[in-house]
Amino acid sequence: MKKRYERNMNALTAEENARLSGFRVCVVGCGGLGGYVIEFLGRLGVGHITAVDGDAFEESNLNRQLLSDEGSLGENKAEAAAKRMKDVNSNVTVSAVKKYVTDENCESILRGHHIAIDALDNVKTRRLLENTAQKLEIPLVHGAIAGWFGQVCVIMPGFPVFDKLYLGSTEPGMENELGNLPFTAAATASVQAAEATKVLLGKGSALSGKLLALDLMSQDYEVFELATQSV
Amino acid sequence: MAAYDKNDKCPICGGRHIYSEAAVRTNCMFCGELFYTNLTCENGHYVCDDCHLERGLAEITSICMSSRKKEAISLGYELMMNKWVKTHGSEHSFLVAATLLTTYKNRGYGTEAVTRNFSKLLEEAKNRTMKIPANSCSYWGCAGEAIGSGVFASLILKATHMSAGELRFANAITAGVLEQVAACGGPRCSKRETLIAILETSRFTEEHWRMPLTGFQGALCEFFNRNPDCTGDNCPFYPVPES
Ligand SMILES: [Zn+2]
Ligand SMILES: [Zn+2]
Repeated sequence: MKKRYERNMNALTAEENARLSGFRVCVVGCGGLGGYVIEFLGRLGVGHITAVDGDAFEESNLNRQLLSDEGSLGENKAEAAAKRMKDVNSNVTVSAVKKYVTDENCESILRGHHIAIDALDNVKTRRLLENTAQKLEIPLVHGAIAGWFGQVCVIMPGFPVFDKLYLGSTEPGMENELGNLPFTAAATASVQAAEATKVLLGKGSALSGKLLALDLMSQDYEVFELATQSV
Repeated sequence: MAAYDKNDKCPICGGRHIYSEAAVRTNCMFCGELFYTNLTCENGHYVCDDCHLERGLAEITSICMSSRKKEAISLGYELMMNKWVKTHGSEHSFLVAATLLTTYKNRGYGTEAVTRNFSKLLEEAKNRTMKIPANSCSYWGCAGEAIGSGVFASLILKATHMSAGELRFANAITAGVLEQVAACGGPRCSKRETLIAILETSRFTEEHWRMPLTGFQGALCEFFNRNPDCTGDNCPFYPVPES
């Protein structure tokens, strides 16, 4: 066992830690949530991470996006994730997919991964991701933030949830703009990384089919059952 | 969690619903309790599930108490058009029973006691239909609207004292409705099930007691735009598009 994983021990067994290096995780979105999730999973020792994002850093990202700094404005976010992980943990391969997820490419990007992370910022693409993950039977760890609020849900094959969360509005949705705060992103990404790790190691997720709502203003953390069928 | 139905407008201001990426803490406009929701109206209104249902049931009751309508389909439409009645939901079981009871009374079929005790009759119909479990259609294999017809039948047959023969009628009405609901297949639709329940109950009461509750043999749905799961041409009430 590498010394760098010494402090993973007891929380994980040496055998579990070794198994992590064999897993492939697809992180879709490398902004506020995705940057932290990649950092956490890479430091933990997940062997292969595919970082997906077609966007480049801009100044307004600096308040919360770990992978951005004043020198990286204009740089592709997925590329920045790969670059940073080389410095953080060179045992981990990060493949950068410098594209937005679309109807055409989603399936080929996701295929072959053990788990996917929803670190996106819009409902339309989240739905596409859920549909594709369901089709490929890949667990999906959903995370979203809005102002002081965050939410996480583990979406296992056969149990889609977005219809319950955002409903199936046929009109293009209007979003309630609540801003994005750095600690909300980090807290939510932490929960996502923890749940992804447990699913990968076969420990089961406490948030499978359930929604954790994080409220960093009132410090209320509530878990809701998401019914598997609507009325 | 989210208390709004797909494509329903805000019942308070008629505004559209907007989503927030993560569930936010919001007060219910009625009971004031705090809830987490991903959807509020564009003006910030939020009504929790329980309050929404309660208000819907109250609207149905008050319309039926004052209605003079003798046409069950027309009254059913009036109730379904009410902004507190969702596109789909458990209020439809009561809506069916209330529509049938009101038309039955307004057509003068009932005894004087039916008219005198009408508010108690509606209250009893509400209590009984609200005991139907949510999702009874998919989880229990029995559409709540069909039980709404059964509640109507059992109430007018004075269920508590009915003879074995009369009990047969109440079950036969429910069975007739369920048979047609089953024949439609497809994702559940409270509007379709409601129209089936009203039409089939009227067909039955006409056949057995010469007491029709509507003159219509069919109906044209005006709600399909609100229902993304509408089965279109496979629904008997889907309006034929103009050619
Ligand atoms: Zn409103
Ligand atoms: Zn309420």
